[in-house]
Amino acid sequence: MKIFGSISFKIWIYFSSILFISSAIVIYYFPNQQKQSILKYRGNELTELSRTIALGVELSLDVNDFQKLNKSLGYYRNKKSEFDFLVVTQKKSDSEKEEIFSQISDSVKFNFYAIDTSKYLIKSAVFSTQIMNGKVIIGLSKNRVNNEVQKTNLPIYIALVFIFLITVILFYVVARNVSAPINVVIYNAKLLQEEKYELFNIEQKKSTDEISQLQNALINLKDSLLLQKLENKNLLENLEDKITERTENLNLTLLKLKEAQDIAELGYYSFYKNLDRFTFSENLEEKLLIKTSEAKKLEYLKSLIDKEYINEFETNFTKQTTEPFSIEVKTLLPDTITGTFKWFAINGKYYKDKQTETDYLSGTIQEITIRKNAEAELRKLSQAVKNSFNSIIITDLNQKITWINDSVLKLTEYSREEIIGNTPKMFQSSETDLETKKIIRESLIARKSFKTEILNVTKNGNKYWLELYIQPIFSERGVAEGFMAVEIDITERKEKDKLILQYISEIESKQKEIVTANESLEIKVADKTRDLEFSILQIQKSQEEIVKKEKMATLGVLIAGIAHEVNTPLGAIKASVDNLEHLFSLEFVKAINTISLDDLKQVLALYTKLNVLSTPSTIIQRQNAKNLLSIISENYPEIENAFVLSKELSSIGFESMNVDLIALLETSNYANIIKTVKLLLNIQRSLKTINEGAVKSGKIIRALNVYSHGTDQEQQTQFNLKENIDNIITLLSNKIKYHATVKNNIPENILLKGFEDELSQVWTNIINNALQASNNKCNIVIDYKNENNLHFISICNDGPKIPDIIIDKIFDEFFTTKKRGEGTGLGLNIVKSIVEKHHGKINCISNEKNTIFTINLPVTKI
Amino acid sequence: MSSNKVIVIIDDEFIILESLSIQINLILPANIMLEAASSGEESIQLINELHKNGNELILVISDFNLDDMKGTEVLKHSISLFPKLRKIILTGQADSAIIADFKNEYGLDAIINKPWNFEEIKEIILESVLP
Amino acid sequence: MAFKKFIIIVVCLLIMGKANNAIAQIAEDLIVIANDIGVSSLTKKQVISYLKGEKNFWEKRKKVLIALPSSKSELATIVARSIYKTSSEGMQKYWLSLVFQGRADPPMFFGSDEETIKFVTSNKGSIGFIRTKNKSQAVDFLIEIKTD
Repeated sequence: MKIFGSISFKIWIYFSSILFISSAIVIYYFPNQQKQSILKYRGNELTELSRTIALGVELSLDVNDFQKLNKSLGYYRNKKSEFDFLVVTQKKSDSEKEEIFSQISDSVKFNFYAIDTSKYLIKSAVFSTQIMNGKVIIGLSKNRVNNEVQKTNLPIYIALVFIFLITVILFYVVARNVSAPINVVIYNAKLLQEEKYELFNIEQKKSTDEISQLQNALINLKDSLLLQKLENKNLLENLEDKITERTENLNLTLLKLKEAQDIAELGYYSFYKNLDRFTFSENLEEKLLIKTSEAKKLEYLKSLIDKEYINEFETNFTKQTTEPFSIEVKTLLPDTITGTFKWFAINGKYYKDKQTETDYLSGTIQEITIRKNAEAELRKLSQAVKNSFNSIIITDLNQKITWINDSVLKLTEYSREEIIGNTPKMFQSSETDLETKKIIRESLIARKSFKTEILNVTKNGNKYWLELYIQPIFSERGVAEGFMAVEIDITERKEKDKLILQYISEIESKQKEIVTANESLEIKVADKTRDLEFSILQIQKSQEEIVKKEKMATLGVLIAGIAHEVNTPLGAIKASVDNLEHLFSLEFVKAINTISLDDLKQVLALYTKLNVLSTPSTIIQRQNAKNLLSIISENYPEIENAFVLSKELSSIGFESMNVDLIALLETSNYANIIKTVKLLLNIQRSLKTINEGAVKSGKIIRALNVYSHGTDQEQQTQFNLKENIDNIITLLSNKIKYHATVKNNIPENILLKGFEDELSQVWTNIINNALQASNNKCNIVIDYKNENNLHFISICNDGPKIPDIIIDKIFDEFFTTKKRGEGTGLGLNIVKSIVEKHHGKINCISNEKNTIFTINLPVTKI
Repeated sequence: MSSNKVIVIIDDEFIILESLSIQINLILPANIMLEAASSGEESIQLINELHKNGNELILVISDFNLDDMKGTEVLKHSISLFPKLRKIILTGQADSAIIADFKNEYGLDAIINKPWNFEEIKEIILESVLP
Repeated sequence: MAFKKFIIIVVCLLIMGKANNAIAQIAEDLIVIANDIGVSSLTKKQVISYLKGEKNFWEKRKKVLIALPSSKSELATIVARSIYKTSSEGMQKYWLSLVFQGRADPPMFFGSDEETIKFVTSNKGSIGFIRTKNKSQAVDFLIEIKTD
């Protein structure tokens, strides 16, 4: 918005608008004029030409001289790009309709009677002869004229735009130049406002125009402002000096006072009750963590105090008598650094402020934590001693008892008066051990701490055992002042010890009984073992049956897959035999009878070329048919059934337009030739199919034969390992062929000695498992190496990982991960026993990427 | 392509497709077209295109075990576009629960085992061709 | 009327002529002359083809120059009928149309046999019609008409 108000914009906008409007008028008005004059000129030309041609027509028909007409038509044709059409009409007589005799135009479908005449410039000339009357009409579309005009005008437009832009820029520059000095004044006035005198940058101007006068006045203003500023500065400096001196004296006095307070851990305060405002000495503020003005209120101080002391505190602070008070309070929360609670002694008295006539409380606060802690400690100790469950006796150096706790009274059944002043010998009985007494005596004399057990008697004659701890008491200077005895009643414990001895002897007698019982048990166990052995034999027998069933199940799985594999080629063979019969007996005979020698030659040539190609896939055949259809419909429009033809051609092996196809279509009998070629190809394909089918089914039957032949082997035989495995792969091909791959890398020359059928089961089981686990989608690689005189055969698949928790169990009997009823769980167990039967080992490792079964078998001398 | 009647055969074994094609073409009337496909995906695309171009699919003969799906799935899709379609399943193994279920729900004109007797297929073709 | 009669007679002659003569003709009393066209005989079909402007060049890429009888000539009607299957005016209009379409160069029209002969004998590649009786004047340029 600022821009739109500035002077430069105002100047500039007026000039630019005028320029813009005049340009617009020119650009719009003149082209129109041009168009009109061009139309007029072209119109005249058209009229001339049509008249000339009409004349030519009259000459041709009346005088039989066509040359002039030819010439003027030649002229029209040369200039054809400048016209749109030339039409000759004829009218038989006045009443009859006018119709078109001939026309020259760009489009074959041009219809003169159908055009929009307003879009064209049309001129005509009439001709009349004895033979024919009519009109010669020449037309020119107005669009052509428009285009011509635009083309001519384009450079002018560009020049105009260019001039326009330059002028606008020029005006802009001029406007800026006018407004620049004004902006300078504005800027400097601001500087003065902000007292930034050093940035002031106008110089004294000599010229007398208004703007220069303004600038000069501004300079004068700046000078006087600077002078004023300087005078103020001096005054301030003097004042400051005086104040500094006074302040220093005051500070000194305050410092001394603070020092005294710090030593006493004492601070002073005053409290204005009606304002609820405290003032504290500095050291107090530190101690109480007074940081904000909120903290200088009664409520805040209350919040620091432990609940027990709050009432006393509040009462004294609000009572407002002139009597002084003194209280001791504890903090609510422990100190953050030391972790202990703090104590404070607060003194105070109310005074009257003479100036404001208000009452205020003033006094001291002193920290007394250390004293309070010491008192608490002392209290604790004396409590502990007093209330101890154990008896505690304190004597002087002569063993005269000076203090006892309450437990002594309970224990000994004497009263306090009877005990104080006597020695502890009064508690001993006649049965007290002499040795113990001696130890006590000696240790006391030696002023040493000791422990012992002693038997005492109560006032009423009850005996009791004590554990006695005696130690001397020393004064602060280390001089012995007396003794302290702690006595623990151990009467109960003594009783318990006796009982334990009794139990031990009982246990020893029981042990002897157990030994005899064991001996009779062993005899019973031997009997039971005999029974178990018999049962195991039974189980083994049924296991063998289950193993056989497993074998049969495996065979069954294979056969199911094979049935499908064999039926498919059989189906193809049967159909092909059928076809051959039909093709030969009906079609072939017919063809031979009807074909001509020439055609036959072509058929054979074409057949020879095509029968070496393999039959294309269905997708490609359809694609080729589409290609051929488009080519044929375009180039051979006279062929009616192009669709069927292109299908036939693609089925016999044509893909696109080639030399052979062109030659074929030129022959008039091409349909018959194609039919015969197709016949021959079908015969050949049927034969091929039969062959392929026979090979396929033979392979599978042979594989099955090999597999089942060996199920009842009794002796070890020698066989080729690669073939053995290939066989299994063939038998499982029904499962493999869709989404899995199996690669057999066993070298050709490896011979094994063993039971061929059993080892077949090993490969079958492992491969089948891999396929099942991966839903027939894995890639299996079978590798071989010979090391340490062992055959190492590894079967690796990239299916799912066998979890770590079950991999150790996979070879176990009856272990299966399949649902109940789906697997016997014996597959891998049998595999393992077969491998071990051949003196080999099998193991399995599995990770996210691969699962590898490794079988090693000893190399036997062949 | 004009509005023709079409028969489609589907099997992933090329020798089956070829021998069956030749068999059918030998007895097929002139105005009926025969198309072949070698996978489930290809056959579905083919049938969609035939439908788009206004053709009338009158019979589908499909193998049950295709590489990428079961033949019954192809038939299911075809029925959605051509409800009056006749359907034959060709299979190399006996019994399947899936085929039996399909027959119960949608009906089948025949379940034919490989190797097949062509007479049975021929009869169904000639029936389907009648207007 | 006389015109119509004349046409009927000519047509009859034509028919009879065709039946009687062993040698073919374009029409009774009409012979074809041409100058250096590469052959000495033409079938009627060929003559028509060249005269109709279907072929613009003779065998050896020589331009076809056509000489026709103008409306003043007596031969106009016969030639128009036997070659163009229309009247003399129709022949004019035929050529008008052809000229507009730019498909062929227009022919020269002559009023008499002398003029025709003069043109043909002095222009190589030209072809024209004269009456049989004036045969001797163009004896080197006679064209035999073969049967198809």
